[in-house]
Amino acid sequence: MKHFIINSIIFLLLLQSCEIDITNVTIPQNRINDTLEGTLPIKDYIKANINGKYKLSEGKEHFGDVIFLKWNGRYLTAFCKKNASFIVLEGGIRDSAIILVGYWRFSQGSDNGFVKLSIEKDNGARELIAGLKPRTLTISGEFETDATQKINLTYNDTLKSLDFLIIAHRGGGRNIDRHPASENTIEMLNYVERLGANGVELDVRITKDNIPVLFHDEYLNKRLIREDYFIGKVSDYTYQQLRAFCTLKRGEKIPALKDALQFIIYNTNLEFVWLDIKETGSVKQIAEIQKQYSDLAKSLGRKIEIFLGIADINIFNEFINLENYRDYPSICELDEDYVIKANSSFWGPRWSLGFLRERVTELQKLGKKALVWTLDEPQFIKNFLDKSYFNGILTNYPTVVAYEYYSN
Amino acid sequence: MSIIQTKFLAASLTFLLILFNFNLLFSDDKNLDSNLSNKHKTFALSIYVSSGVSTLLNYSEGNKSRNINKRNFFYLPSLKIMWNTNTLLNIGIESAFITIMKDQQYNQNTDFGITNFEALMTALPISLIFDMNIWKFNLYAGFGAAYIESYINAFDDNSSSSIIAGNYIYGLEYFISLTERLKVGLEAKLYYITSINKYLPGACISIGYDVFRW
Repeated sequence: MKHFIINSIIFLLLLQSCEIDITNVTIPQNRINDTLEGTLPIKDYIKANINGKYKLSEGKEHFGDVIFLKWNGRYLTAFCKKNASFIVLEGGIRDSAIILVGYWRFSQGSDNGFVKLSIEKDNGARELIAGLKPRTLTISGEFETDATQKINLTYNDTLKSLDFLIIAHRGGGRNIDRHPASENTIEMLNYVERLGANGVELDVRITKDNIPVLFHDEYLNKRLIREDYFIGKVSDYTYQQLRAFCTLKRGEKIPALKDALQFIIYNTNLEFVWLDIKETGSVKQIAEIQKQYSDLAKSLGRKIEIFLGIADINIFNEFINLENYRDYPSICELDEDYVIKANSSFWGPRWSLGFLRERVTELQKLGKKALVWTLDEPQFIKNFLDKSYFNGILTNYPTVVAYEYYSN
Repeated sequence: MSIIQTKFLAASLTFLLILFNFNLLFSDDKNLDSNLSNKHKTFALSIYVSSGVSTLLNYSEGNKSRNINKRNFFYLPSLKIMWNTNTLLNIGIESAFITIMKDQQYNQNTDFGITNFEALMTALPISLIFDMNIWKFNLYAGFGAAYIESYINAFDDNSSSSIIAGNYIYGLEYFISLTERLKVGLEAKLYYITSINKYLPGACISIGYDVFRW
């Protein structure tokens, strides 16, 4: 009896203690800006010739033997194998040399540091600036850990084109992964392409006054928000109250779905949006917004697809009650019969069901595609890329999927 | 102190106190020293009614940034029912009505125009507590659940919501016996509510009465 009571108390106490506090990774933006001050912008034709597979002669203990460099807009990301690390760089041209400066970090954990690289004129910069593909291209410089270490990369091969969906979870990345912006925010959407993603999953909930907003958890809580007074469900508060008086963990505002889609269409190159509908009773409002912004993207000639997520049978029943429901692009997480009934474009089984090669192939024969979620473990990501026929992966670690995809 | 450090510390302190108390509860009286076994010669069921004030120690970053962090003191009524054993250990249940925060801000400039902001957050914790006599003081600790309700009025719209959170309580009491059954004393206590990560110290005057003795 005594032990039973004591063990029960220990269990209850541990249960109450289960909450994680996150230390953010700080991006050394001031140092980056200072280093790039006075440099000229790097033209797109130069960037195209820098993209590629590189071998490391120095720094391989930290980043691995091979890394893949890919520009996205003004940012160059290096996808690395070791420690699931990645480097995000910005660049400029000074004195016929290309300066690349930014930070490295591990995908998991808070380890990070400043990175300063350059392509000297005799190491390929002269040809790059002239619009030519250099015969040899070497990038060298330093990165900071506890001490300053040297890094040296040599161009080895071209980067294969990305015809696979790398979909970032939770509006681009979870708070627990220490990104510079909170999950499900405009700021995170602005960041997510630096992680190698070409698609994003948004968690959608409805406010008291029926405005779809991005928020993952059922309850407003200390994991996601800063304010004290907001403790209930998103649907307990009006959109104005949330926007005016509730800030997210990194100081952002909870975005309306409309604002998020508008930002994606106008300000990113993302090609795929998965709207994960978190509660029943909201499919109609979300579907209307999906249609409105799909039409907007089409009118702008923007290559992007927006899908409604059908995660459970209740959402499915609500979805098929929509007028002309077969016309709404959707991703169905239920079995294939439901995928066909809903006329979903994608099937989205969870990764733990395995490769599902035959079932995926059967659906692909019907003109449908398949995504797997939520795949985070590097070895599993590699296995799914090697052995399955999925058309995309939803992940919390797009940099890992990007590395495995480019090296596959 | 981070949330996880706080919770770990709170859980550890509570556990140590409980563990110590359990050793006493399940010990044979003969094994206790004479002072201990003479201290409580009878069993009793007592009710304590307390009345005092509490305040919130830690506002969140969000509230600080909008200057909603002024020190307020709120009325704190509480009730405790204790089983007084014939060992050092007393076990009981404690409940209170805590006003955690209350704010009124007028003419707030927002993206949607000017509005007033009124907010109130209250808690009703129910805790299992373990009370130990140390010299003339009672030291207690406990844990339980708290019903938390939050109310906001802004943009002419009332919104209220509630959650159940975990809570820890620590207290120190000093009592003077007025009669054989009636006593009066002072109490200092600290509530910690987990989900909202709030510390609430309080000070109370308490009246205790032994309803049953045997």
